[in-house]
Amino acid sequence: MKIFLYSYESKAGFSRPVTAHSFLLRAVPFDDEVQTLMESSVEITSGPCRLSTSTDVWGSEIVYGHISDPHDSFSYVSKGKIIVREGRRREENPSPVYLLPSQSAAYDASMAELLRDGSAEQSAMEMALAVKEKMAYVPCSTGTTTTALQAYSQSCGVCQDFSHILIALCRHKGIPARYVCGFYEGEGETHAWVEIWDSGQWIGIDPTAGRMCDDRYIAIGRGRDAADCPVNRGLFTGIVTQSTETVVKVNEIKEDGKDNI
Amino acid sequence: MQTLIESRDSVNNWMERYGVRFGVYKNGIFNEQIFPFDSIPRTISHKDWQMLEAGLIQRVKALNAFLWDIYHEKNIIKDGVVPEEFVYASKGYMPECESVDPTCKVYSHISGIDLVEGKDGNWFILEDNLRIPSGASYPLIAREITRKVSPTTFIDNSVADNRGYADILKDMMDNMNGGRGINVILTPGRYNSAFFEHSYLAEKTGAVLAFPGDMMVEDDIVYYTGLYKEKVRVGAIYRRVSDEYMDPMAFEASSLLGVPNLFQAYKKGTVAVINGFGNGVADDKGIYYFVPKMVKYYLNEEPILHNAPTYLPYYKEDYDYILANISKLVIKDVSEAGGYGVVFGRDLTPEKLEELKNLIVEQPRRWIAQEVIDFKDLEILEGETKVWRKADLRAFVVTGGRSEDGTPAVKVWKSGLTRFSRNPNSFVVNSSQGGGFKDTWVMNK
Amino acid sequence: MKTFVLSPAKGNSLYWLGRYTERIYLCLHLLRKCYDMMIDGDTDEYSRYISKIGSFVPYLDEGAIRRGLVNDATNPASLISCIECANDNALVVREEITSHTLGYVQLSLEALRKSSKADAEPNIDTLQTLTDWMLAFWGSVEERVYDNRVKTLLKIGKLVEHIDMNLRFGYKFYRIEEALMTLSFYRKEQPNAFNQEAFDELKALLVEGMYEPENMTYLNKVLSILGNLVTL
Repeated sequence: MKIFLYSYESKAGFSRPVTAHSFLLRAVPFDDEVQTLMESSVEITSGPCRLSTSTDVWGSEIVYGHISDPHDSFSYVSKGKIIVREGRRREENPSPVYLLPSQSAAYDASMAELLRDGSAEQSAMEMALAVKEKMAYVPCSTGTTTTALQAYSQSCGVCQDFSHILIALCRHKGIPARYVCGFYEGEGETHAWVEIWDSGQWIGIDPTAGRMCDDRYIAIGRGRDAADCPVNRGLFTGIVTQSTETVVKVNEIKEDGKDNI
Repeated sequence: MQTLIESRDSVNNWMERYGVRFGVYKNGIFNEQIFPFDSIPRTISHKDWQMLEAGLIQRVKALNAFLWDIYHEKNIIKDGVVPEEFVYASKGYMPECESVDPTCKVYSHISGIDLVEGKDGNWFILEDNLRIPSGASYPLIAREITRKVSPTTFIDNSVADNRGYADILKDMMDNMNGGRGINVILTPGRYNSAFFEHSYLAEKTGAVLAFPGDMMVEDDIVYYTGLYKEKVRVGAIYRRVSDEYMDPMAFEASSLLGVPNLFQAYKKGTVAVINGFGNGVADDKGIYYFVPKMVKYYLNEEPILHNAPTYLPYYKEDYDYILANISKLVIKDVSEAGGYGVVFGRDLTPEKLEELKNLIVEQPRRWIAQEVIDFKDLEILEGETKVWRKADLRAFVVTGGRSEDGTPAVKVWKSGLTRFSRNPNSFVVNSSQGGGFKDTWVMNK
Repeated sequence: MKTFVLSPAKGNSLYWLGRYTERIYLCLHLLRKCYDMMIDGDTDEYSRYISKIGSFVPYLDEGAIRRGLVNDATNPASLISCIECANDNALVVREEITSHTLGYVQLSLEALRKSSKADAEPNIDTLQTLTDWMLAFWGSVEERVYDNRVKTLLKIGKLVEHIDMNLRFGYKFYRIEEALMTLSFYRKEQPNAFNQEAFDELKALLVEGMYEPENMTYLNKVLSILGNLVTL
C-alpha cells in the first residue's frame, strides 16, 4: 500500500482566440477497492468555467464543460491524494464486449507468433512478455488512432500500442481484456496498461514494462481500447495552431502527510 | 382517378413550387433532383390496413421492449431467446447506452417498417428502420398537392386523410419534451439528401430547425443559441444525424454535425433525443430474424405480421438448408461494411456459388438467407404507357405520444411511402438509385 | 404553434433574403426600362445598367447582352444569379417564412431556368411575371409570417438593398430619405441587429445637402458603410 500526492497539469495555447469550446476530461483516479481517493479536485485554471461531472459507461469519472467566449489558452489541473493497494478489482460477470475485437485492438492472424497457452493469468503474462520482446519502445512512432496491427507490423510503438496488441491477443484466446490509462509513480506523462479478467477479478499487466501492475499504478480511465478513454477531448471554433504541454507528478508521501522525497 | 393521372403536369409544377427535392452527390458534385412521383396511388384496403396497423403496433412495441431489455436487464439473452453474440457483435450495439434511461423508456419514436406485398396478397416485413428513417414528407406533400389539383378524385374515393402526420409527430415531440424547453429538428445541413424533409417537417410541426453549431450544453442542459446569443432551453431533439456523429466528445471525435456533450445531458435525462441512441442493435439484419420471437417473448402474443422466411446459418438446421438450397435464396451479408451486400443465389455462376458457400461455412454468423418473395408488382406510368414495377411500402409508426393511461401512445400513420424501381428487372427501390415514389392510400371502407 | 426562436445564421439568411428579393424586384424594373428604350434603338441604358450593376462578363452582341443579364447563371450580376442567391437563403428559412412564401422564389427560379435553357429572349411580358411573384412574396410575408423579428429582419434587408440600388443608380434623394427613416424605426425595434456607429455615420452622410451619388468617392464610402450596417 502506498499513499501518493498526484497532479496532472495541462496547458494549451492557441495562436488566436477560439470560441464555442467544449471539452471532456478523464483525469480523476478511480475510487474503488484498489484505490481510495482521499482528496481530489479538477480546476480550469485559464479562466472561469462551469463544470459538470459524471461517470462514463466504463466507470471512468468525466469532467466536462463549455466556454463560449473567446479565449487564447485552456489549462486545467487535476490533483489530489490517493491510497493505492496491491489488490485486484472484483467483478462477477464482465461485459462480453471485452471479449470482442475493437477498432484499435483487433487480432490479426499475423500476430499468431505472440500467442501463448496456459491459464488466463499465466498466458496473458507470457504474452505480455512476448509483446515486450517483439516490440521496440519508440516515442512518437505511432499516433492516437494507430491500431494494434499497424503497430505490430512496424514492430515499434508506445505503451498504448503495446497494450492494444496484448488486448488483441488475450481476446483472441478468449480472455476478457480491457485498456487502462493512468499515472505511474514519479514524474512524466500518462501511462497505459492492460487489465485481464480471470476467475472473478481483473488483473493488471503492464506489457511495456513486462510485469504485473502493483501499488505504483494509478488508474484513471478504461475501456475497450484507447479510443474509449482519452484524457482530454475538445472541440472549438477557430483556425489556429495549438501547443499543448502536460506534466504528471506522482509523489509518494508518508502517512503523516510529509513528502517522501 | 383518371383526372389525377391527367393532371400529372400540374402535380409536378406544384412539387417544383414547394421545392420538393432530394439531394444527390454525383462525382462529388451536389445536385438537387425531383423525386419522381407516379400519380397512380398504391391503395390498401380497409381490411388489409386493420391487419397491418395491428401488426405494426405489435412489432414496434416489441422492438422498443427489446431495446430497453438489451440496455438493462438482458432477460431475452438470459432466457436463451436471442444468442448473446448476435447482440454484442452487432455494429448497432452501443455499450455507452448501458443503463441509460431514455424519456418514458421509448427508443424508437419514429419507426420506418419496410414491407412488401406478395402476389398471394400476404404482406411480409423486409426490414425495420429504427434509427433515422426518412421519406414521410414525400407522400405527405404529394397528398397536399393531389388534393388541390384533382379534388374530384378524393370525392369519388374514400381515402383516409394523411395530412395529420405532422400533428402525430408534434404530439409525440411535445410529450417527450414534457414542457422542458423547445422542440428542435436537427439537420446535418443544407446539403443533406433529405434536407427538404427536415425543413418541411420543421415548418409543419412548428419545431425549430437546428443546424450543426446552433446548440450547446451547459450544466447538462441543452441550449439553442438565439439571434443575439440568448440561450433557449431545448426539451426534445428530433435529430436527423446518426448516433456516431451526435456528440464528438462521446463518439466520433471529428464530427462537426453534433452537439458536444449532448450524450451526457441525455444520460442525465434532461432532454429527449428522437430517435434514441443505440437503436441500431434492433434493426440489424441478424436481429431481424428474432423479431417475431420478441413479439411472443415481450407481449405474449402471436405475431400478426411475418418476416420473409429467413434462415440463420448459426442454427444447424438452417445451415444445412441454406447450403442445400443456396441457388434459390437471397443471401445477405450482416457485416455490411464492404462485403457482399445482398445477392440472389440464382444470379451467381456455379463457381461464385461455391465461393459464397465457403464463406458461409467459414463465418456462419455473418450471413442470413431468405426465400425470394414473389412481389406483387404495381402499375406505374412510364410516359403514356402503364408498366408493372417492383415496389415496397415504408410504414411509419410513431411511439411516444400522449395517451389516456399515460403510457406512450403507438400510432401508425394512415399512409406511407411507396417506392418503386424504375428498372423493370430490379428489386432495388432505393430513392438514391433512381427509384420513384407513389402516394399510399388507405381506404376508409 | 410555431416556436419563435431564431439562430444568428437564420437571422443572417433572412437579412440576405430581404436584400436579394429587393434587388430582383429593382433589377426587373430597370431591365424593363432598358428593354423598352432598346426598342427605339437606344442601347445606352443597357451600358449604364451594366456599369452600375457591376457586370463584368463580356457578351458578343446586343442579343447576348439582353439574354446574359437575365439568364446567364455564370454571371454573378445576372438576374438568375440573384434569384439563386435568394433561393439559397430562402431554403434554410422555409419554416420561418412558410413553404407558400418560399414558393414564389422557387417559381421565379424554375421559370427563369426553363427560359434560359431554351435560350429564350426575355421580354417585358415574361419579366412582369417575375415582378408579380416578387410582390406576391412580400405579400405572403405580410400575410403568413407572425414572428415579428422574422418580418423585421427581412425588411431591414429590403431597405438596405433599396438604399444601395437607389444610390448606385443615382435616384432622387427623397427615395433614400424614406427608406432611411423606416430603417431608423427598425433600429429602435432590433437595436442589436445594427452596427450603431455605422448607422450614425450613414445618417450623417445621407442628408440632402451632401447627397452626391455621381461622386465616386462619396458613393463608395456610403456603399461601404451600408455594407457594414447590419451585424448578424
